[in-house]
Amino acid sequence: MFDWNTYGALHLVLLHVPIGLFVGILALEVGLNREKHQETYDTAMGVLLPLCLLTSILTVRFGYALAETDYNWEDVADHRQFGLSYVYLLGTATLCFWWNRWRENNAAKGLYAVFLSFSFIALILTGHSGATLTHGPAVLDDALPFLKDNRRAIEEQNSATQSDSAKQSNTAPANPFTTEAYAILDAHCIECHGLNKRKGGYRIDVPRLARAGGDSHKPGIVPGKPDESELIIRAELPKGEEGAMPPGKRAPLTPEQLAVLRSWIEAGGQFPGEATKTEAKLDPKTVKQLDALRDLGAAADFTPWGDGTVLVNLSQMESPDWKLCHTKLKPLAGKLVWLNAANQKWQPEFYAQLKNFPQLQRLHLENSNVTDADLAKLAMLKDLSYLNLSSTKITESGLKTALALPALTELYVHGIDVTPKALNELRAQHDAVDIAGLSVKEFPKEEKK
Amino acid sequence: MDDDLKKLDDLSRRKFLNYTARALLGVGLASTTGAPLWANVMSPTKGRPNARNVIYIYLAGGMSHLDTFDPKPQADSQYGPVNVIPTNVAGIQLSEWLPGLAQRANHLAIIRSMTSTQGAHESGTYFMRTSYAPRGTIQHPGLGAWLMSMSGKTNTTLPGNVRIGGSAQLPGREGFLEKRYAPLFVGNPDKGLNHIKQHGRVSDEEMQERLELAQLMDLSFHQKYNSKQITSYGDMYDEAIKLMTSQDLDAFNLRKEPGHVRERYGNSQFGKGCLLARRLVESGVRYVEVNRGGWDTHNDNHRQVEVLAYEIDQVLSALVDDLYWRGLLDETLVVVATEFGRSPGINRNQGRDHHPAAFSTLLIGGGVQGGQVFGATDERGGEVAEKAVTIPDFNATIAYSLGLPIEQVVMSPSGRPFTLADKGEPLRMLF
Ligand code: HEC
Repeated sequence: MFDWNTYGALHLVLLHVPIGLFVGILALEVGLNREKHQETYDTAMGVLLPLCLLTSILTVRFGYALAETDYNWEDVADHRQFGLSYVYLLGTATLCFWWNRWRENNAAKGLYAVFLSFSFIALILTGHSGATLTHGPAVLDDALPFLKDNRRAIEEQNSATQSDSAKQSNTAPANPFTTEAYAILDAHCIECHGLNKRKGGYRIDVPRLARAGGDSHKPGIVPGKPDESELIIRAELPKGEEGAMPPGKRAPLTPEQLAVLRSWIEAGGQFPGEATKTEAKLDPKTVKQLDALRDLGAAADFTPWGDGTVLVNLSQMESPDWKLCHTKLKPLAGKLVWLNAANQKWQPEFYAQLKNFPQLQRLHLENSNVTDADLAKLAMLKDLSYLNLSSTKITESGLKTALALPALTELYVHGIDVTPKALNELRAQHDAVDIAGLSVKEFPKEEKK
Repeated sequence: MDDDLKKLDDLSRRKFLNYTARALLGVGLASTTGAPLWANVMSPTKGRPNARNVIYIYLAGGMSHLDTFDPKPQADSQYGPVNVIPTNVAGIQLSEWLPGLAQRANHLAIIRSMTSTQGAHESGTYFMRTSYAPRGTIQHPGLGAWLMSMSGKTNTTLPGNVRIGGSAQLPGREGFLEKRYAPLFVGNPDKGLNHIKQHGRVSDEEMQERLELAQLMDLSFHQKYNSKQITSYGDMYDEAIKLMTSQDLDAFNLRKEPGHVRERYGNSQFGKGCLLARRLVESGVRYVEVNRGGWDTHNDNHRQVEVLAYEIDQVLSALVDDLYWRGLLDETLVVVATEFGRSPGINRNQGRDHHPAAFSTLLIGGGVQGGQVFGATDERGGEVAEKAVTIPDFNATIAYSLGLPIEQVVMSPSGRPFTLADKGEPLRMLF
């Protein structure tokens, strides 16, 4: 069977054909002397018009297929409507043309001219909305700079109103129906629309997907609009009707339950935990401070934990200047939880000044010049849970100092010069700390060549 | 004499261009543009994602889940099921061909309920690497490119995204993102990067002169066509030069590794690839992909899988130990993926055929809790019995572990909206 959806992309090729033919039609209308060439005109138009209509219809059909597979139905709404009106207008114009040829009359001629003109306008609008879809809204900016300023003004206005409404919703009280509504969904729907089964390609347990909808491409939940929410539409269908939810022999939701779901969506349809969830915002000041470190050649970023804390990696810099790094790090002291200072020969102040970063939780010193004495200076780091001392000159006494850190849970000692026996004893004494790695004594001997 | 010079010039220029061409496919830039996006993630309930780096191991051809990570000792297969062995985590059993990993099961999160919709190698691989089914003209980016574009690389001279083995053409490259996010391809881990050393007879000064000449020649072009894509190409030059003169190149040299470490990884290409991956991650490369083919066992499945499984067992065990001992496992997510599983039924050639309905993958480190099995298949291993995990879910989980914004919509140049794992939802409970 022919599957239109596989060939949706043909829309993008085929659309040029009706446009070409349409230009031909216009050219004949405007340029051909009707008095002299009536017969030529009739033959040419008799071919051009139906051909243009036919290819237009095909283009529209492929366009539907393309929208189905690659686009969001709503995003292409304008393009779709313009395209459809163009085809209807052109179709009517074609009918008028044949009417006039069958029995010449002025009404038909006039109507033909009107419909053809309108279809021309519709074609231009269709083409432009299509171009914006594929090339982005900036499609005309280079050619027509005044449009750009115009649009920017509109966008600014929009964003101003948006941030206003955002402020409002921040202070708005939490949705009072959330708990009850989620309990209903949990009891009656999530069994089939959750992690285990995703009937109809639809998940209700994840807020984002519950709103997006399933295979039907209709939005599942439209905040504030229960009548447009597929979830409500399906749940309200009478039992036994096709598509009614829950399906089959299961009892439908009671009118009270439906009312709760409706009010919940009307009030915004927030999920448990969402109302209180404060979006972790990127603090622009921190971003600037991170950028300053990047300029030095360090890697600096937020941690993946989403709580605004930062990590800095100095291990890839070429002979870094600690003084400079320190001045740039200092402003981040309250946020710096993860410092990678591996692979470097640090100036002695480095180890002493680590105490200025009391929030540190993870510290990489592998392959560095850290010594037993330096470790004593870390005692101020009360939150340090991860310490990496692999391939350093640390000895057993240094390890003991490190193990005195109150929050330590992971200590990496691969390739340091300690006897396996000593390591095992330390492991036995500190069973709350994961002491990972092999001492250099445990490495097999390299055979000499 | 004159002629000789010309020849030499020609050769070194060709070499240089050759390398630059590779670099065009690979060398990323420091993340100076765009704000870091790590802060958009919801805070997890249990553990927390930790990954800075990913080592993405891809077993091409379709790994038989039944003979490796999801064995079914009770099933009455006409060919005899593989035996199972206990692991160091009570209640988890693995195939007898994975003795090393069985001793490290406390680090592994085994997902046994993967399911795909694509039953052919090409489309299956594409789906696994991009979270989208192949469709028409659009090329979707792989996770490495997404990571580069959204969070940037750590190291200023080494590329941020490297692919070892397989082919440079495999899907999961930069897709519609900028060229500079594509992986740098290393065909043979033993050889490292080709054409990277300055030619012996070209002095530093000469090199500098030539570069200036090249810049001069480019100047008018750049003035005329000043687009992001083109400057992105120009940046490649600078990157390539930086890399040529950088000490970081040592990261690509496996001979710098002590003998006993190389021995643990073994002598296979795959073992060397994984050792190289560890060296690169240690030097700040954030996304390294290692490919191992040969898993398409339509013939003589058991004998082939036995050999393949012992190999990955040795190499993965070495990699896990190595990362763990060095304190890198916590911040490095090791992913073991494949395009689909293999059928419970044995075919005429004593092989197993493609089976996208159910298969297994692994996640190790990066904040993922080890010692767990997620999901299950039915008693034959043919269908997912609980907690189906789609490929977008799986990729969303990798992204979540890296702290990437899963819901952020990115427009392709043609103006279509995409997210990095389509509609995937991360398995937050794994952390
Ligand atoms: C027994 C399993 C089952 C239960 C319980 C169930 N559904 Fe469904 N649901 C399905 C199936 C199967 C489909 C796909 C067929 C269809 O679209 O009618 C579906 C489809 C849907 C869709 C359409 C998704 C789309 O966009 O195509 C919605 C909305 C929906 N269900 C809502 C609900 C709600 C709300 C409940 C709880 C009141 C519920 N379902 C309970 C099985 C179930």
